[in-house]
Amino acid sequence: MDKHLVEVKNLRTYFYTASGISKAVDGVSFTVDEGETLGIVGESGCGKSVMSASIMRLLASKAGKIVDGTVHFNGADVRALNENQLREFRGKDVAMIFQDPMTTLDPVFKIGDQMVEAIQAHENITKEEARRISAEALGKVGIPDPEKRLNSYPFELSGGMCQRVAIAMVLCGKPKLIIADEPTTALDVTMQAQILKLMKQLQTESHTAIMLITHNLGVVWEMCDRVMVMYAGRVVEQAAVKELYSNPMHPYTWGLMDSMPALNDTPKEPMSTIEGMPPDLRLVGKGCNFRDRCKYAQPQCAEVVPEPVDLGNGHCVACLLQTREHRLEREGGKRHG
Amino acid sequence: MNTTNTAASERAISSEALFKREEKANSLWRKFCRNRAAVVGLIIVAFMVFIAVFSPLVAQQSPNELDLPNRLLPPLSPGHLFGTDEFGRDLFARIIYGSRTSIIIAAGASVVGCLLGLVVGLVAGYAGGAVDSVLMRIVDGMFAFPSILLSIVLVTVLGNGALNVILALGISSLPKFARVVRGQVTILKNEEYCNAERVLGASHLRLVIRHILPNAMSPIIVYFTLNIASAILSEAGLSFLGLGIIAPTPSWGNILRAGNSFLGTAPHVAFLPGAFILLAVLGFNLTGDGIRDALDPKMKR
Amino acid sequence: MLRLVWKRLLQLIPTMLIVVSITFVITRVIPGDPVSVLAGPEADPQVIAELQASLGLDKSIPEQFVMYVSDICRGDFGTSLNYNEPVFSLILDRIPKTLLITFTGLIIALVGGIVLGTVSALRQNSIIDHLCTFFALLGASMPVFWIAIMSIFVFSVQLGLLPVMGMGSLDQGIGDVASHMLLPCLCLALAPMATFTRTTRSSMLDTINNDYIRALRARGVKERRIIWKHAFKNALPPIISILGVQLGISFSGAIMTENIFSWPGMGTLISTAINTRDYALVQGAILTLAVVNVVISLLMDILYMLIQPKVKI
Repeated sequence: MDKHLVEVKNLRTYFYTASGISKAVDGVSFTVDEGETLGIVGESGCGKSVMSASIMRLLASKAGKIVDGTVHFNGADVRALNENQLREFRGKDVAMIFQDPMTTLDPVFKIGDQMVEAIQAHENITKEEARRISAEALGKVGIPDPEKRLNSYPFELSGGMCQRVAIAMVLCGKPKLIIADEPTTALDVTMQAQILKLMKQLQTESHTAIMLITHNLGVVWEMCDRVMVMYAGRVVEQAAVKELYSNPMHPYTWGLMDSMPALNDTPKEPMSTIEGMPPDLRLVGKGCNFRDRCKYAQPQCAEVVPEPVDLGNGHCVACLLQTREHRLEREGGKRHG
Repeated sequence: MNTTNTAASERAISSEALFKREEKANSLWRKFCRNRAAVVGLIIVAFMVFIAVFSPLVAQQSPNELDLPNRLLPPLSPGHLFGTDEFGRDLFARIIYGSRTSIIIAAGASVVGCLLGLVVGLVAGYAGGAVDSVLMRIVDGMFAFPSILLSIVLVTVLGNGALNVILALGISSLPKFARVVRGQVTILKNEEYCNAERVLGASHLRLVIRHILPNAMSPIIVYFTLNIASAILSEAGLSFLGLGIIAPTPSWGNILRAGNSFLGTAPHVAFLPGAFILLAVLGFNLTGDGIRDALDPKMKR
Repeated sequence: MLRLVWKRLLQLIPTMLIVVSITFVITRVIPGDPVSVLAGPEADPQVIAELQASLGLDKSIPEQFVMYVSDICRGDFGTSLNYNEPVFSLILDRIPKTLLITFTGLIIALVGGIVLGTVSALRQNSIIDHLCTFFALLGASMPVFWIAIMSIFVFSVQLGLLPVMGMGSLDQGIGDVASHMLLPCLCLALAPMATFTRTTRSSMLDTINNDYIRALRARGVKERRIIWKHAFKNALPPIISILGVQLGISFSGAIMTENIFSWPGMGTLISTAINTRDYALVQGAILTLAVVNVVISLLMDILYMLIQPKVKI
């Protein structure tokens, strides 16, 4: 049996708020292998970011708690790590790239100092040595004049530059997994492509696994080996990228794909959208979370929580209407891939 | 797994119920009541106002009746719950009647300060330009004096007595109010709805009274409540220095002043009025904070 | 950066002018005409007129104001009737003693408040947090003169641990002065410490929920370093920005506490002056305190500008 780098089973993270329990992550299971890129797609608020924070045990708010499930990294139980082990785990084993590069660097310290600090957190080397490594890493991510940049404050750099700095910082730790939480959303379009290219290039060099969280299906197509679609705290579909694009199965995935504009669309024709709003995460529980927006919904969808079913080739779908015996006929829709 | 089960029981509520629950939770009074500290504060304030208004009912004895043979009796002596002071006067009665002096002066001073501050702040903020600069420099100048110093000087100029103390403390708190009001007005006068009113030809007075003032009210109410707390402290301080309310009229400050001389033999004469000051100030502070948090949790400073 | 400092310095001029005007007005309206005090109740009009001329009181009000300002600029605050000494030298002797306890108190308050506020923010909603919040509430509501009296009662009258009167003497070693300073400084520190605790707590809470703090954790940086280096430096500006106001409050507190502990500073000087109707001394003292307050607030403002790298251009 081959070992997975990351193995998440039945993870549940709930937020305890004054007006009810918000089930941000509600029974998510998946794996990531070494060197693999897993895309995680879904609209805002579907639990993507909370899930990645749960894996890192970095839940920002004290109201948020992992209530159930296991997370294994390289065979080790992440939920059982003590504070020191956790510190070693973060940055050295798993590194994170956040959405807004301007806010992920401490505004009042110089970039060099922050990089040196990140390196010295894991390696017992001198400041000069750490600075040399930092400058090297900055050069690698395409920052001109790295030596000089070490003395810059974050606000003196553009968003794209800051994201490069963040990536350079991640590189210094030589992690086995990088969790990138919408790393390009806050950047302008040309910068997005550059950053993604950079990540891809660095991944091939160091054989790092990446979990790429995004709401952009195009990015997934470019970057990922496998993709996982999340909706309201649950995984609704999981497959290899090519398989998913050529043969999407979950009604929500269909909606997602239809609402993606393509160049060969008829100009000026209104874009297709998914009607309605995602459910309030304090109210979900019974039945399929997507049923209110799903035009195929049946009475049983309100009763039974759909379990993911493997329909072959690792293509898992969590929909009561999509089973091995019975397939749902897709109405309309465009073709991609 | 236990938590998951409780989570499951939560799912029964509908979204309308949730909406109603939120709406209810967001009403001002509800928000205030959910803040336990604020409720405690309000209860203290209510208690203080009660003993101030109904002093003759609360205290059976006269605060000024001398009884020299029974001077400096300890608390819980027969007939004297809080004991007696250096002239044998009932300390309980003096403290209860003292609350009257303290609360009236503090509230009066806050009203004076608030009104003066409103005028200065409204004029400065609304007029802007040179008027604003001149008025605000004067306010800065007043701010330069440590507040108790300003009160001391004003009382020295005006003389003792309740009315003069009210005036002195009121004027000392003017700069605080003026700054808050001005800040609000400068923001509000550039709001869209004010511009709209102006386009419709509203007069300056109408604009200020009908539109700017009501919207500037919430921070003013908060500052007013908090100012009562600091005015209680200032009045007590002045009277303690022998400048504010002069004995025999009881005030928490001058009872404390008298008690200071008998610390070795009768510490309760100094302790008890101070404890009442602390309680009253705490009450007004908690209430003020509670109102502020209920109005806008982001307004915290 | 320098331009901002200059702008701030220029603002000082009108403020100072207002301060001087206020004290000038006070001296004109204060009851007890200095001439009749000097000349005695039954002086003949001739003497009174001469005295008025010598004090410049026969001139017009604007002329008197100009004289007043030029006197002050030359350090001539008049002569104290009670001490029969120049007011300026009396003040020069007293002001360092007041600054000594206010600054010591303020430093104790700042350090204590930052520690309590940070601990409170890190353990939000824990028992420690509630205790700190309660302390902050109590401290802000405490009458400083009452806590001073009560601390005298406990530490000096009951326990006999600490001296209460005066400031001791340096001849008997620094310990003597320090033991005299302890209670006044602690009493003075209480109210500002409460405010610093509250401010630190809310500023820290704002800071530690920022993305860069999460990012630092994600990089495996030690928690202690994250809090005391990164979060602290980011949370500092609001704390520094209230330093100036707290200084004013400390001066107010000093005036009260000095009287209770017989500390020979400006507070005792002012109340003695008021009680003896020594008005030259009163106005000289309040003017000095106001000026010191303004100047130190200005320095704090400049400090505030310096610690924010975003303003540094």
